[in-house]
Amino acid sequence: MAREDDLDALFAQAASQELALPDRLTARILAEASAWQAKPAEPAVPLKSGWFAVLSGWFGGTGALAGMSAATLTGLYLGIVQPTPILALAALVSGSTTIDSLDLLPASATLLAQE
Amino acid sequence: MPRDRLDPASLTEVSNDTLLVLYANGDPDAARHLTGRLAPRVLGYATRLLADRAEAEDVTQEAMLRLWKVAPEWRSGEAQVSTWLYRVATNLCTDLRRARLRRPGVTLDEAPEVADGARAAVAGLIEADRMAALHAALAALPDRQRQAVVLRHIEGLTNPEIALILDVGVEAVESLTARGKRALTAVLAGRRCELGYEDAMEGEA
Repeated sequence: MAREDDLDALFAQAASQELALPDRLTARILAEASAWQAKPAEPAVPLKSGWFAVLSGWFGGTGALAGMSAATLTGLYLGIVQPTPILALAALVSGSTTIDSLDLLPASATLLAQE
Repeated sequence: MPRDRLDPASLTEVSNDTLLVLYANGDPDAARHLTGRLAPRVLGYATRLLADRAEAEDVTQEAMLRLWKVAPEWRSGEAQVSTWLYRVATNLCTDLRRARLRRPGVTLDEAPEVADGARAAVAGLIEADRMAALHAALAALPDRQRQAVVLRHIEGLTNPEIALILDVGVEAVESLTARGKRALTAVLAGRRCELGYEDAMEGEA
């Protein structure tokens, strides 16, 4: 056997001898792994299904949807009830009346007469 | 069940790279699989470099700890986990060997000469002690030569992989392994009879 072959045989013998990991070393390694490991991420809370969830998604969330609902109901109320100050203001804006004839407060004479 | 956790049985077929990502994402089984695959290789490598089992176990634990720490920042596909780990182990072993030389009572002058120390170490060996002869001869090599020879001829890595681990060029790796093998051959040549090779040669004749 040539000298280089001797060495190659020794290398092959060494390569075939895998050292077993002692249990105590395995335990130490895994304990450190556990200590350094980030906790598993919690699964994201899924959105509730249904038309309300879909609508909330469209308008940017529940808060935005509540604001838009309140504005809609207020507009509906003003349209149905039509309070006098609002009508006067609307007439002024639309140009059907002038500022001189606008009377947003009841006349003081009426109040005095009641007393 | 967390989203990034796989069935434990399927982890045996997953790459080291993927296992490390799973570990970083909190998979409780990934660390066990990585330890089972990589730690024995690191332990064997460190034992051959240091010729000291206790120190080799410390190196293995420290190298694995560094792997756990780097896991969250690991960029998949940039490097092989095993190559990275060999590199860490190499550096830790180099630091330990330097620390040995700095210890009181051991000076550079007292460190064994490459050829003389190895020849003395292999003297009187019987055939069953071939491994001891190899380890003694390896221990007498300069650090870089020993690392390159062990990685190439015992751990079975390619020259480009060794170049990454030792942070040198591929040509330097070829030079280191060639010089290392020549030195080992020279050291062991005079002991062929004691190692049981002379009888084989006579049988062939």
